[in-house]
Amino acid sequence: MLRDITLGQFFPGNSPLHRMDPRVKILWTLFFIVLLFFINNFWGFLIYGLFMAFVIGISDIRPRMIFAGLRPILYLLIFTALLNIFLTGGENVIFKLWFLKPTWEGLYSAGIMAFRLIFLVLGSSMLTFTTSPIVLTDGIEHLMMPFSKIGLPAHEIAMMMSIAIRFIPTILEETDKIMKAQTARGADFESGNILRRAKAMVPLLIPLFISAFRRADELAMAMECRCYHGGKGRTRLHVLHLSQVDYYSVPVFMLLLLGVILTRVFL
Amino acid sequence: MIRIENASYIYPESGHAAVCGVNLTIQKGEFVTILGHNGSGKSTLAKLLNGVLLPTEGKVFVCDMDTALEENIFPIRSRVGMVFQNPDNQIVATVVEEDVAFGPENLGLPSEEIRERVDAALRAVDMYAYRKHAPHLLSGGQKQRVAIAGIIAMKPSCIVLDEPTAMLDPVGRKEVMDTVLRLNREEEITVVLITHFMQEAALSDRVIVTENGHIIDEGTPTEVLTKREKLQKARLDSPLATELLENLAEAGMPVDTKIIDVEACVNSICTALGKE
Repeated sequence: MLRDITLGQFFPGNSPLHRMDPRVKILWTLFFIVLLFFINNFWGFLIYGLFMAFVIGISDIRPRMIFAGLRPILYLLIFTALLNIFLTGGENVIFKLWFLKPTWEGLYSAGIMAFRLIFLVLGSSMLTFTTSPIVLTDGIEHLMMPFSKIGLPAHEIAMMMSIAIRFIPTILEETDKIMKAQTARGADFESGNILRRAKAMVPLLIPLFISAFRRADELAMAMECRCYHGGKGRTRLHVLHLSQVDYYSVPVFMLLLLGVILTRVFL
Repeated sequence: MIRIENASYIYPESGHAAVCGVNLTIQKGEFVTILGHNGSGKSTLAKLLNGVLLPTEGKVFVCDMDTALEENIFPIRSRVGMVFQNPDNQIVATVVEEDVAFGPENLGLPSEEIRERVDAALRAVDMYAYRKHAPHLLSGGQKQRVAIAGIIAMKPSCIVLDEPTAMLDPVGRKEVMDTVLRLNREEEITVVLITHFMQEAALSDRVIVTENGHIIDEGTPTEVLTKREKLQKARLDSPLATELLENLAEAGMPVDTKIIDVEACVNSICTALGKE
């Protein structure tokens, strides 16, 4: 059961979005998120909605999958909306109930906030849906490269991330094995209150940690035996280079920018 | 190819001498097995071969380069590749071909050449069809073959395999041994196999038996594996075929006991029966 967990779901495919360079995709996602905070009315969100529909349309991913990604933030969404409705001060009170005074201004800002959150999640999940973790890491490494001049260990961070991703299934498998072994010895992971269950985790975590350190040690040795010596002088099998899709993405995002500017200025 | 001169290794933490005054020369193209029970110093000996460990006394030379010199370490490691026991703990990437590319990438080769080497290495271990697969979904034998491909993509002249089959099932064990044999015969790669399996030792050109950090016997598989007393001293069992023949000979059957493989054993028994 534990083996099914994946990190940031990725759906393999061959859509223009999948073929896009990860560096470009990461930058556009950041652009998308930053621009989101410049929107101050619902016309802006209408443009964002149209844009999202276009992106989802060309992504080859079933919309149902994408909206399922919104479910975890549902409570956060309701919570922030309620806070906004009741705590935003304003003149136009909708009704009065004891100390609660929801205002029209509050409702408006709750709506803005909710749309922002939704688009934030949709936009960033489009990135993880269409980019495999390893390609994403590669993109992050390249984007961080300029900062390595001021001492940011870009290659090392990327290497750590990709090794972490590589070992997720291995460690999960091991967790499963240790859990079964401890259950066979009479351990009980499922009953009792939170405190009891947390305590029951100790005999699971300790062997897991020990074996993770042992693995790390062996892996480090194996990597050294394969001449690993950090990022210096290292080349790659797959070299990232920009393709047509990346160039076509520029006018599309510029249209989005233009649209948002227009709604801010005229509406 | 590799020359070990009077090398010893003492673990600094425990003061345990795992290798004591070993002299050994490995020729180019040879298939050498280092045989020993657990704790006999065979893995430590293996780690001396490519400078993972440096001998506390004595010298190790790879292609006449001293492993103790810092500047030799990368040339040596690209010539002597190492495959370890646990396939999971030596695979770095999440895609098979990316993992095989790890070594050549570290050597700083241009990406076209990495591509060629990766493809050739995967074909050599018969895993080309799996090049886009995630390693954790492969069987143990397949993973170990990927690990071997990762080494041969660096085009080493020698591969050291440290108990590569210890964690595998019989099918995986056969896959790995077939691959190693083929690399030795066809690609002329020198192979140093560390193992405690007799059947695997029987496939090699030369067998070296270690006990307590010393080399106690050396010779062709047939020579070494049929000396029952010496093997017992090294806490190893004779190959099954040899044991059977020895028991038969003791019982009075006129069979040849200097035999290690099953087929020759069958022939020997048949002729003995035919004589009777």
